[in-house]
Amino acid sequence: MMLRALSHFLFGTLRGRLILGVATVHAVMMTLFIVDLTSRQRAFLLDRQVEQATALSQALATSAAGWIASNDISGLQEIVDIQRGYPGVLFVVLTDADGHVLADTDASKLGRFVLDLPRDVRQTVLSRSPTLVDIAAPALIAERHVGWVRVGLGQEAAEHKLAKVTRSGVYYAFAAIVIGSVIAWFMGRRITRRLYAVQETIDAVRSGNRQARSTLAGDDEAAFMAREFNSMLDVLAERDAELSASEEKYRSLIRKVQTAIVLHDREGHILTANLLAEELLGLSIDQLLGKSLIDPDWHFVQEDGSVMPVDRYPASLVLSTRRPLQGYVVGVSRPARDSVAWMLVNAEPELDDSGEIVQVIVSFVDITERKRAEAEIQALAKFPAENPNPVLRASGEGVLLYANRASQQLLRLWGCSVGERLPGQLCASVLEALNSDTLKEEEMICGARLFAMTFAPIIENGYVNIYGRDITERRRAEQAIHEAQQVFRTLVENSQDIIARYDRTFRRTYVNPVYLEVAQIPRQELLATSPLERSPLPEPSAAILQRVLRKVFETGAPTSVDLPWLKPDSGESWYDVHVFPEFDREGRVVSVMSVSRDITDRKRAEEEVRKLNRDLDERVKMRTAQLEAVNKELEAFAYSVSHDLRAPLRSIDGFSHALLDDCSGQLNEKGMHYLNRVRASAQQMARLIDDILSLSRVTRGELRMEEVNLSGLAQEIAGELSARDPQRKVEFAITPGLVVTGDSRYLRIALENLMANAWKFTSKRAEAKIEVGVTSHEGSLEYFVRDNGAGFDMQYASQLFGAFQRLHSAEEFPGSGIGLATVQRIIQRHRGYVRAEGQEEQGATFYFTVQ
Amino acid sequence: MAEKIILLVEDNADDIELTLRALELSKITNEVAIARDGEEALNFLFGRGPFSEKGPPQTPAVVLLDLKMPKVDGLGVLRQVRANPATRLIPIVMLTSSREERDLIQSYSLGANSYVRKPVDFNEFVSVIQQLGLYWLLTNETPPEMAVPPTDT
Repeated sequence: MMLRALSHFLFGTLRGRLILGVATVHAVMMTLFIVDLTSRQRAFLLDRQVEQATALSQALATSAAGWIASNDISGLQEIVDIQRGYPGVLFVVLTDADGHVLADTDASKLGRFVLDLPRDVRQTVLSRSPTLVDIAAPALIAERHVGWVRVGLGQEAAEHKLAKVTRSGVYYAFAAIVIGSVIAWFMGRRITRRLYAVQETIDAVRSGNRQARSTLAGDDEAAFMAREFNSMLDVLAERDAELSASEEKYRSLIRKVQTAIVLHDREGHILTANLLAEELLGLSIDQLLGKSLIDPDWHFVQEDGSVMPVDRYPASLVLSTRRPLQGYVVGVSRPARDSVAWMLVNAEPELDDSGEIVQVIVSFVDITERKRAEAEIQALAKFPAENPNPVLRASGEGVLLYANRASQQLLRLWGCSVGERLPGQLCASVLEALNSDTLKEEEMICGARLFAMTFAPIIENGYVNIYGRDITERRRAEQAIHEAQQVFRTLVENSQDIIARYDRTFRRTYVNPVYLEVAQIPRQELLATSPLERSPLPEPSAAILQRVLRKVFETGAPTSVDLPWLKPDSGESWYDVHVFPEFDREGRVVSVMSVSRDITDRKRAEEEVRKLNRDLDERVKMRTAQLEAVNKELEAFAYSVSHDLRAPLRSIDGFSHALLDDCSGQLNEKGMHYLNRVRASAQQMARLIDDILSLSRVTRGELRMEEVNLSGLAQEIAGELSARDPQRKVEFAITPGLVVTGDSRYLRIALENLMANAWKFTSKRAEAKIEVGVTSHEGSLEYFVRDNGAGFDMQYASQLFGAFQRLHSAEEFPGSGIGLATVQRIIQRHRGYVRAEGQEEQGATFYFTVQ
Repeated sequence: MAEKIILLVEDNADDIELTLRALELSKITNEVAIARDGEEALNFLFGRGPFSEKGPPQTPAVVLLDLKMPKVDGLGVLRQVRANPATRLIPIVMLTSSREERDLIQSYSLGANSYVRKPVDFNEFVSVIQQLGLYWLLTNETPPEMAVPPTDT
């Protein structure tokens, strides 16, 4: 940046160029001067060096000649060493005439030969350069050449001086450039200042200040230029003002004209739009000019209501066709107003001299209201056409002038169409209406339908409007109602029940013939009186009825009541009076009806049933008491059996035992045998008593229902049986998890009996097996106890469960014959059944169910 | 300490004889006092009536009590014995023919120490009596004598 600014200043401005020129001239002149000065100085210094070397070599040759001649080497060396102090000496060599080195500042060269000595015996400059001045001088003694002296001087000192001179020269030159530049700067400023003043004015005008003018005075070129410039600016300002005034006029014209106008450029962009355009299009001027966003829902709408594509927009059409557009209708969907406004659009292209479009002028006229009115008129016009009822018009001659859509079916029936004469009867009615100038109503059957036709004459126009109405359904409904009424009337009039209707004051508004017949009161007395005022019912039935009527009026709930009626001829009768409300459309009770039915016979029957029931109850109570007494007796009996019957048995057994024990000596074998039989019988009887008691207990006791683990019970019983008879080998197979609901005490007794039986009847089997399990039989679960013992003959199966019934002798298998009876009793009390299957010597299975 | 006596309360003469025989067969030689009905048993235990002159009543080591008896039955005896502080600790074994649940429950709830059913088979009866004698006379520790004097109630 800095570099560019500097370069612009130096080369781009007048002032810069001036300064640069002057400074460059100074620099060149001063450099040339300094170079010349130094080179002269350098030559002068070299000359002096040569002179010094010559002088030194001359002096040495003179002084050393003698020493060389005498070949005094050490003396010569001494002379040479002295020369080392001479400023700038590089070397001093003394040789004999043949060039044999006798002495040298560099001692290592002693004894060597110097080869480049001059051929002529005279002083010779061997080298003359700023770095080395080499002089050889002959040493002569009386013109006799004895040797050479060679002296080399460096230019070190001279170089210093030279450098100093050069540096000074550079300083001078630089100073000269600076001074020159400064002078040039001041001169440049002075010369260019006035030009810059003009430039400032130009800058001000350019930056928008049209009023800026140069104030430069004088009569030089700059002042002239400034004056010319000022007058040019004046002319320009004048033109500007004219232009903007005309533009303002034009703009305000467009903006204020009472047509919405939008100007587009040739690209279609909006140049300007007037206030009305903003209003109609619903867009601000900023939105129109694209300076702010338009709602994306804003768009033109085509006449059919669809969104208008952009290439159908008026400006787009004009730009693409290059022709004016007239009478184009667009809708404007303005989301902010939630409505479509309809516009009539004219668009005109403005062409320049070469026929190119410069701009497009689009004007909008709001025709929304007009369109709406048109639509309304159209809708109104369609009114008779849309009428679902036939609407027709006939001329005074009976010619059909108009028929709407709903009349088409009628026209087909009549075989008539618009422009033709109506059929005879219709024609006559039209003429009649027109002649009498009154509305004429007529019913007509048309096919399967019934129409009511109204003929409305319009005298001033000389035609008749005919309005038809299809009254088929209404007529049918009326007929249905009439029929229904007839049905109900017939029903009510012929009903055997007494029917009455009451109003809000409980006065009868209707009574049916049976009522009159039963009440034997004239109809007019019954109508318009309430039950309390006049009633066939005696007190308090009339009052009860009136209360019921009141309740039904208040609650709207149907109510029935049985009322007695004491009739003078037939005694007491009973009526079932059903009272129910009648509602109006709003659900209010408007009246109440009562239907009373003679239920005297039923009442009597009911009374009899009640009486019978009372007797029955008493009898049941009595029988129950008797049964309870019997049961008590039975219980007492059982109790004394258990106690009193056993005592003598104990005596029989005990004393038989005493007899056997104490008097065995007096008894023979036979006597002892008899006594043993006595004892066995006593014990058998004791068991019998126990079993009978057990049976009686299971019959009497209450059941305590609970979950019973049948498998567990069977396991316990099996254990007990095995323990009682340890020497027997019996295999038990008990299905686990058998659970039923019942009384565990009783079920245990049942299972005990069944398993003990199985145990008993397998006693003669070497390998006895007893199974307890469950199986399904005819849809119910049957639990079973199965053995492989003695079994039984199925033909006696029915006897198995009777008390004291036995299929085996007591010798074969001891037992009381009560066990299975007990089992059956228990199972029956559990609402189950028990059955047995078996075969002699093939084992038996006892099945039972538990509810 | 005096010999432990057994009080047998039994109305049936056969049963008394058979019980005594069973005791004899069981080699139980302790003295057996016999009451033929409930009233007699209570008189014996409370030292009243005919027993009032025999000094303080003897306390038996065990009472074998029948249920069904004339006058006062077994349960009545049990109730009164348990109600009296002087006798309430006496071990009482119900010895009866009944196996009614009702009798069992009532006996135990009135404080019977044991309930034994007399078997019809005499061999079994002997075995039962032997077990009772061994248990109540030898195995069981009798309750200490009551310090409270007997009363008529």
